[in-house]
Amino acid sequence: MTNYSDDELLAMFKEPNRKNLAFNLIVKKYQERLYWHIRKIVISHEDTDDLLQNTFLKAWRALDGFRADSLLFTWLYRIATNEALSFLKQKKRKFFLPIVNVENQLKNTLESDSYFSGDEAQLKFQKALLTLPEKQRIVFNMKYFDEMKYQEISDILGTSVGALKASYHHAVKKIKAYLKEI
Amino acid sequence: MEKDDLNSELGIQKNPFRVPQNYFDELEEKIQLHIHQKHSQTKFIPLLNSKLAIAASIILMLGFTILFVNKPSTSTADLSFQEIDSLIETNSYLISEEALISYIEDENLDLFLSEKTADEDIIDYLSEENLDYEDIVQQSDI
Repeated sequence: MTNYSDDELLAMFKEPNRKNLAFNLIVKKYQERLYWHIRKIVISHEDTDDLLQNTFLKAWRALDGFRADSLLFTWLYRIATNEALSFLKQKKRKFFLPIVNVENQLKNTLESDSYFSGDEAQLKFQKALLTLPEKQRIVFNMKYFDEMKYQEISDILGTSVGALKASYHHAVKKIKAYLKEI
Repeated sequence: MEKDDLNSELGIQKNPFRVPQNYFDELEEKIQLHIHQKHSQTKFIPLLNSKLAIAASIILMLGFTILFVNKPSTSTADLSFQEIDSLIETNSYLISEEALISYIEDENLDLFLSEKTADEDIIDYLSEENLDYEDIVQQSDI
């Protein structure tokens, strides 16, 4: 079912009677990767669910105008990243909270999340990640957990490969320092 | 390299999050439902291209006019002196001097020279306000 290439799916989407089917296949193909990408940013399953649905809704609306100058996968990842980042920004604005408090809120969510099955060490590790600035945390997740290439991350985030390498390096240093402290 | 370095210190870190059962199986259906709901919600009548636009704006304008013309205003006619006093005290910054004077004139109120006002009260008032007797005499001549 999901063995179609992106080009095939995009061609199918352009045919009016196969539009829905093509989009379903796109959802099937990318839902898990996008879900985990968002989940690691916003932590809570419920928020991730909302943001993932928004991501696909936006993709549905914009897919007609999608030009193949970027990969479908890169484009979807970019929408998902923007959704997650604006969600965090809104959260800060809504509650007039400085960044530290949003991090604390995410830590609390992590601790009370019924869909977190990690052990004590994993919880500590996730808490360490929450001390990183948002963008750095995203870079770290994409590199460490998703094992993406720097070039792929660069295409999605629009940041140079050099800056991404530096960002990842700093993130690793900060995580190590945090884990030594506690 | 750095990943190996981190792993050797912390052990291999895996994704510690879970999702509810069948979440991914049901997501596709949920998204389709959402798309079709939004799709039907966004089907609107293009008002700007039809006569309905004119009709709608006339109704709106009429509505606003009625709303503002018939807006119940807070009338001071039924208020007692005590109520007016407390209104002035609490909202004095909202009431202009002119409005107060014209109200007193319109209602033909004789606030300061009523029978109840004793000479002592006038003397007290003058001494409290620290007014110059000469000025008062001059002003009353004018």
